[in-house]
Amino acid sequence: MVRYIIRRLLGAIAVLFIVSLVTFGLFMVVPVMTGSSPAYLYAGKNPTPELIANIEHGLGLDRPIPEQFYIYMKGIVAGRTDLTDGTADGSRPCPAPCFGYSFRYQSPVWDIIKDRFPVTLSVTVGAAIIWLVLGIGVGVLSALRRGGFADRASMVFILLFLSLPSYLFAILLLYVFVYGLKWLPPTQYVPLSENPVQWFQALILAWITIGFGNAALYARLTRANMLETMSEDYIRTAVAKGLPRKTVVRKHAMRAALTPILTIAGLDIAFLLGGAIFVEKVFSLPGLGLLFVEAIGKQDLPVIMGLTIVSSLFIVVANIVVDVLYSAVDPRVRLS
Amino acid sequence: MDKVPRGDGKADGRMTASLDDDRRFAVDEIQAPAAIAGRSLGEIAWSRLRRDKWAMAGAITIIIVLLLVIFAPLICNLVGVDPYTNYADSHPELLDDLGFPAGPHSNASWEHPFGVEPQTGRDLLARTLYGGRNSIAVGVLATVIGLSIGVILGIIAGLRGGWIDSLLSRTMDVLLAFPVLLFAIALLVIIGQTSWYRESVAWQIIVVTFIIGFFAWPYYGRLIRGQVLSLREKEFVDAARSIGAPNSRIIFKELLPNLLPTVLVLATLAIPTNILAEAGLSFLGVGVLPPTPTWGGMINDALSCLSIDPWYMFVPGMAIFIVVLAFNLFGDGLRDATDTRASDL
Repeated sequence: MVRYIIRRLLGAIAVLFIVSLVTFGLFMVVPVMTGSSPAYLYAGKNPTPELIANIEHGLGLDRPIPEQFYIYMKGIVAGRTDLTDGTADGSRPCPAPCFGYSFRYQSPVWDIIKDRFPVTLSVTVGAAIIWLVLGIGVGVLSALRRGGFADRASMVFILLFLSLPSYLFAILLLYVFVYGLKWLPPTQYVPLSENPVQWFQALILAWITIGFGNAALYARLTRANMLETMSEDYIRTAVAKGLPRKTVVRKHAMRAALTPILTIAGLDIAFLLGGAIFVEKVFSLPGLGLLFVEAIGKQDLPVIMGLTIVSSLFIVVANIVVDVLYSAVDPRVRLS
Repeated sequence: MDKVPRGDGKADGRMTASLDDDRRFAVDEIQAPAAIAGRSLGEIAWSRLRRDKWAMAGAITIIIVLLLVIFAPLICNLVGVDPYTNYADSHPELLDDLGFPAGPHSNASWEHPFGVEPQTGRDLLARTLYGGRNSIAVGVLATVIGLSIGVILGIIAGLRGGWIDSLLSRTMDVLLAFPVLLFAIALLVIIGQTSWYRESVAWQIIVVTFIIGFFAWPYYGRLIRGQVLSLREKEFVDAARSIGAPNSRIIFKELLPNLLPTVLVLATLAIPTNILAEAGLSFLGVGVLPPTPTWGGMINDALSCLSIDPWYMFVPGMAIFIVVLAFNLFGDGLRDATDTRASDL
């Protein structure tokens, strides 16, 4: 078990290294190929060549690319003290994990990410509760009443939400509940600790958007898995030995049918933790997703790079956690 | 069978005749299933699909939408509009003092059936039709690219095995563990800074298509690899090998025909996904750049004036929803129809 986890962690580090390498390569090599130095992005309009050279030096862009990559990777592990904004006294300390320095925000990238993460975490947790409860509930119910009214109704529900992109659904909710019915004020996000009511009001539509959208997917998966499990021999055995239907469904069928669903849930949650881009944009929630959108608009490459690497970190870690949990829940799976 | 009474009595004759009838009936019974078994899998799938009303409704919707966007220039000519003219310049009465459409439903009229855009007065019908052209073209072409890469590499991985399979499988794993959306966006931000990209609509569409297609291939590749792994152990592949068929024949004559249903279903379900991906990128302001219309771009523009001019959101929003729903309905139907495990074979 311990050996397995160590091996997986080493594999995860390898994957993260590849992701960083590709991301870094993209951001450093492509601008060189297209002939415009990233320094121009930070220099304002009509920059002097000296300013460009200064910024390039500050970013370390005047060094060979492999060395830049080494410095970047070392910064993530050990922090950096060599960052400047190109001016005389422009030294910018950047403790580990250092993902570089954002000129737009005048702050180390890691500090911005740390600052924005609680919003995305709030969005993710609320949405995950909705989609797991709703998706699994609807899926199990429609599998147990296969072909009945509830089943067909839920199939329509699933198909509608699978065809509705999250931003459209978000906009629809925004229009109906904020502009139309005025049930919700167009609120600003505040932390939970500051004002729980306003926190809830700012997040509820985002939770519903992601929750319902994913619930459709999960309902479909749960239904298929339940139908397959319910036709297994051991379910027939359980029924034959006189167990009540409730026990058979709960203890025998659901446990086997839902394990793969939880695996997928782990990965989806990890993806969301990297930022719910569309939903955060529509509802103006200042999480990692909106940070990413802002960074696109401002062409803030260090932030985009940092976010990409942090998001893959979530996914890679979730992969390991899910596999380990899977073996704990499902005794048929042996880690090797 | 002749009905001429044989033997002596009427009763006898009747008996013989009825016996013959019975026999003939029995022969029909035996022949009938044989005739059905003779149908190819494709014919069976088609007959099932035809009976699936929802799938057919999806198919008809898809055909109508395709005709609409293909003949967009013709339709726009007939109505007398085009997607790039700022009609507010020549007809300032279209917009009110704040630059919003002066009438309800984005000021829809006979001249502008879907109304006009805020600020510019561009025609929404023309922009929706031309936007659909771009969005659907990207969605379909990206699917073709992604599926081509996925099928080719999936077959190679599944058939060759060994280190080639390991390499391809690991590559797919890494790509699937990628924050693909973030990466695609980041890539487009960088490419979007180059002048050749900014100045050419054709390049924008090509680049967006390739990026979406490229990031989608591991999903298809993994599925195809799995199918090839099980197909290559089948007797008909062994038979082909035993008579000395080369790999090319095994791929084109044995594997591909059997992969075709999977590929078709994948394609119909991937097209809406990729249309949504394109719309998502345009919605975020990367990808195909304004003033070229796309559905995602229109939704992005409409978001800022949602409370005043919701109709502007409604038109491209409904367009996306209908097209994606139609593809999903048809794809679901096609999957059920080509499902060889289903009972009524």
